[in-house]
Amino acid sequence: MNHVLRPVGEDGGSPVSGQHLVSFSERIDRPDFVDRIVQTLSATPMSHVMVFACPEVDFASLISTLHAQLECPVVGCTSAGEISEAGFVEGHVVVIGLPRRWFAARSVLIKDLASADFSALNDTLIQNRLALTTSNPSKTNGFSFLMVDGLSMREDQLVGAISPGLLGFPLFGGSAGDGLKFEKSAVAFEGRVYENAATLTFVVTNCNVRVFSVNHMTPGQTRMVVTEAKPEVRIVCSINDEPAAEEYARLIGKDPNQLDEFTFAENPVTVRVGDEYHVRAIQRVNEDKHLVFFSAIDEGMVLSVAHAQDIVEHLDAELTNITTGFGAADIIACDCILRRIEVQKSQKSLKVNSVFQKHGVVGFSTYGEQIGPLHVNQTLTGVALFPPTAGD
Amino acid sequence: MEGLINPADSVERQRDKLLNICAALIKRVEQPKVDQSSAFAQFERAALLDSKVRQRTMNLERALDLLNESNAELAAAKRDAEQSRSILNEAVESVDEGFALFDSQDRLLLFNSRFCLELGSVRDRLKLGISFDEYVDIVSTSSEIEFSTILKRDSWVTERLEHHRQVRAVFNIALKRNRWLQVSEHRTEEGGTAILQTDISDVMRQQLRERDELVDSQDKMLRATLDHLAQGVCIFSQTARLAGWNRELERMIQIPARYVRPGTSFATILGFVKDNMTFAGSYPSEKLIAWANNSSGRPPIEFELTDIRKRVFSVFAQEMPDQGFMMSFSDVTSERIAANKLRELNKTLEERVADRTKALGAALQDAERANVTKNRFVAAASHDLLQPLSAAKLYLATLQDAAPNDQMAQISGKAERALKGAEDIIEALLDISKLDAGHATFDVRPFALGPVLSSLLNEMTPIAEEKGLDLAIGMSDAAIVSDPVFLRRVLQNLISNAIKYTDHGAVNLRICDTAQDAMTLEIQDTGPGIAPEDRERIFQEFTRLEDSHSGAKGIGLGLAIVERVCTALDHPLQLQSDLGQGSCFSVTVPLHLGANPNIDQTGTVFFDNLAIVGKMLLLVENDEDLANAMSLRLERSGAHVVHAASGEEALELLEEIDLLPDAALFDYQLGAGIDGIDLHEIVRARYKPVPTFILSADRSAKLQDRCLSADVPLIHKPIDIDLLLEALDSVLGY
Repeated sequence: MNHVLRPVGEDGGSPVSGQHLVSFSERIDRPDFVDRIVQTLSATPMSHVMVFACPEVDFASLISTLHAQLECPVVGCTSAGEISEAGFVEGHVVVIGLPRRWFAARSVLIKDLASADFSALNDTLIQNRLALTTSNPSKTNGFSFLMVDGLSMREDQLVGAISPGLLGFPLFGGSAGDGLKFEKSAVAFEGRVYENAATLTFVVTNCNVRVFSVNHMTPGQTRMVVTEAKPEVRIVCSINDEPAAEEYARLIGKDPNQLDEFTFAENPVTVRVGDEYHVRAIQRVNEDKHLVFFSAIDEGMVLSVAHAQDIVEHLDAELTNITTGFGAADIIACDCILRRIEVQKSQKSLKVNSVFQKHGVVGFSTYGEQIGPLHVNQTLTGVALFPPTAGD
Repeated sequence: MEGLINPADSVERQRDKLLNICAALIKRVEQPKVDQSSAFAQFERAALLDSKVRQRTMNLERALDLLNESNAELAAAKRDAEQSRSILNEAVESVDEGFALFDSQDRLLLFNSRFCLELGSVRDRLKLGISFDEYVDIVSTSSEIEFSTILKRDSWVTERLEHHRQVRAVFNIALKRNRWLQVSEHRTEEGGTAILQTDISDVMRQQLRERDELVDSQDKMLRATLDHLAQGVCIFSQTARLAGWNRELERMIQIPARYVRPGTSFATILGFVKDNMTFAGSYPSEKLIAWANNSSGRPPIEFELTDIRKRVFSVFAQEMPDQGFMMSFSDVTSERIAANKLRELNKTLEERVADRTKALGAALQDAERANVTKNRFVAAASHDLLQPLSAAKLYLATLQDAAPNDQMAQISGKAERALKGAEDIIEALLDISKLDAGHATFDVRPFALGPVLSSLLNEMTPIAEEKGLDLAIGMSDAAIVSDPVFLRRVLQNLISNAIKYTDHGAVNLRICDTAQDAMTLEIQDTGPGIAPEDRERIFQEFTRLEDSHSGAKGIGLGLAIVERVCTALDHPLQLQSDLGQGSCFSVTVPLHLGANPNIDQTGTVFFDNLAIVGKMLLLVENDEDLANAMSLRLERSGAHVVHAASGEEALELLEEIDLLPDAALFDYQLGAGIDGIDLHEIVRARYKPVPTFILSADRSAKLQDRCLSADVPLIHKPIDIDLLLEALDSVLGY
């Protein structure tokens, strides 16, 4: 079966539907973009709507309008860049509608991430999950989708804590972003916008579901040891007993004063846990010449500098591998901001966009991705939705 | 690894860096487990878990693949097995012996053509798939197997199956015509059984010959042993034929040589013994023959024989393992003589014991009689004392009213209290004498406890108030099983005792449910308490704890009565007390279980208004049951009853105690002696008139006339007790 994408309209705003999701995007510089969103969504009875909005938009106003005008629940988050049906875009709002015919969903708001005791959360999650499955017995597949404030620095603890309450609902998610400003990111729930919060959406569906995460890094031989850190703010102060930024620069052979996002994207560091390597992405260098990370770090951690494979080829191969044999796919993706930077700096945007289009990918650029119980970096993590098995 | 060191650094700097790197690594490695809440620790844990889960899933998928593979292998193996089986069959057939194989479920899997060949036609019934039990059953029907009288077919089967239960068994089966089959069974590794049958007739025949020779030489040894014994011994075969004996036997029973020959029947020898000796205790010789004629299972027996020279032989006969039996004769003449002497001595002793017992019995009777007399005296005397006391109290009361001044009134008041004390003592003495004599008759029955308690509360409250004490009595609607009069007395005594010994505070009667079938009544006071060493003593008569500053005029008999009554009624009585902590007496009474509509709701009889209270009644009645019933009823109403069984006895009694009763009840017909009316006339003539009633079931006019002329009222039996009480009340009233 071939999945045919409709051509993007000239204004870039025509809705494109995949097999099962209704996904489209609107440029926020169009004065009527909110009305257009409402209008498009109204054509199909929806069980849930997700929006990924560029940081420039008035997020609170957008969310309250959608909440007032749509009959179904709306969740969403700010992004570090959007992935529309056409690929990487900026200044857009990407909208994903879950039609009732195929989907049912329930969302839960998790507030005050900095202080919340996550252990008490599982009861709420399990209750919601059971309510959802009980009232939708025919929708036998499920997944959970997390959107979390990307500046909360609490993603590791959050996913670790809630993963026991997600039985049968594999989790993926993304950290809400703020372009490249790292100032303010937020999630939306029931018409309101929250910082330092997360939304977790349980989805049941007749579609076949596959949650996945791809990562094009291979660990190299160069190692370094974190000798001083502030784990609570994800800051590595010194590496090998030298100021972190300088030592990192020395080891990758760069000028310590020239470190930027692209350097970080191209020279990520990984940490080994068990038999596997996980990228610990560097967000920026702060004024103390310390390295600020996108995910949890600690003193005594051994980092190894990883080498990137060709991002386009790798992505195409992985997505092909994931979707082969299941029919045409709709993919919701959380793609790391560093990947976007790498693609743009290496001028591979067009190629990546066509891979996205080929595989029906929509989503947003993140400050970090969640897969299962893990908060990871520099990956593309998402869910692939396939036509139901015959009989549905 | 070289990357860790910056070659541009000095050696010292390099060294410092490495040390710091090491420190960071060590810190991380040794990070305490409690600090696992850190974000990275959480990430690490989750990542490990996640990879484990993925590993497991992969393993599972691999296991499924393996399963599919092994299924395919299984099919191939099955084909191989078929092939192996046919090869096995060929191999089995080539064995020279009988061979069979059972599987782990004991089903016959295969057998060769020589298997069970020696067992004849049963072989045709063996089929593949039959169970081991079926196989043994089939084989056991073979006419070729030599079953003996010992080893019948059933036990042969049992034994065969027993062999099968062992992991490895080798045994022989005896076949007819002196042939033998050796069977060996082996359990295979899979739990099946392989059976191998080998004809071993030749070997067995050789062995048997050797054994016969051995038996011969053993026989000679046995002969010598027997002759050496001091006992007479004879051995009989299974068929009760003489098989062996010793010379001592011949000498002992003087049996002629013609009787003792191998093969002589037991009956022949018994015949000789019967003619020449006597069986002690007439042990029947028929029984002995029957015993001997059993082919097996004879129980050991023992009997005695006496010959004409009065020599006594103890004979013991016992079956032997080969189902023959052996008898042994021991000369016990001298033991028997000694035993007889002992028996004689014993007899004399017994006679002496009997004489003494008789003498003691007489003494006991005397003592009992004396006790009865004592009790009667006490009863009568007490009564006699009470009468003048009552009178004295009356006079005192009059005197008090007429007292010219306060001082006199005070003195007379004290005198009255003194008299009241004397009265209490006498009442109590009376009770004790009754209880000790066992004369107190208890009327144990279910009744409601509530009324008893409320009457006690009414009665005791003024006494308590007089001393400035609070009295609280718990209420209960329970029904208990006891004697209502005596229980009331017990509680009353305990409460008044508590009041007596308590100077200030309170006395409480509490009701505790101790068990499902009993309740405990606790009387708690706030008195001085009782020291441990005094606890036994307080129950003794006339004991009052010294050092009591209460000035109470206790008489010391209350608790003695309480204890006696509780013992007699089997109501456990307990005391908990410590010096200065007050005392708590508790009486446990059985609850009346189950509904009983006949429960006496009024509880006890209140006799305050009856004139017969404290009066002595003479009851002459020859029907003992009736006398007891009447005594009980009258005593419950407060009277003291003196009973005599005949007119003569009554007169004797009056003579003896030198007292006249307040009233008399005479049965008309008093057996052989004088009748009730005669008795009445004699008493009237000899002493002075006593209010008397004649009791009789005789309703003839003749008796009525006699009563009329003797001026004595007649009360008909059966006696209406209310009527009787009313009548007594009328004659005894003031």
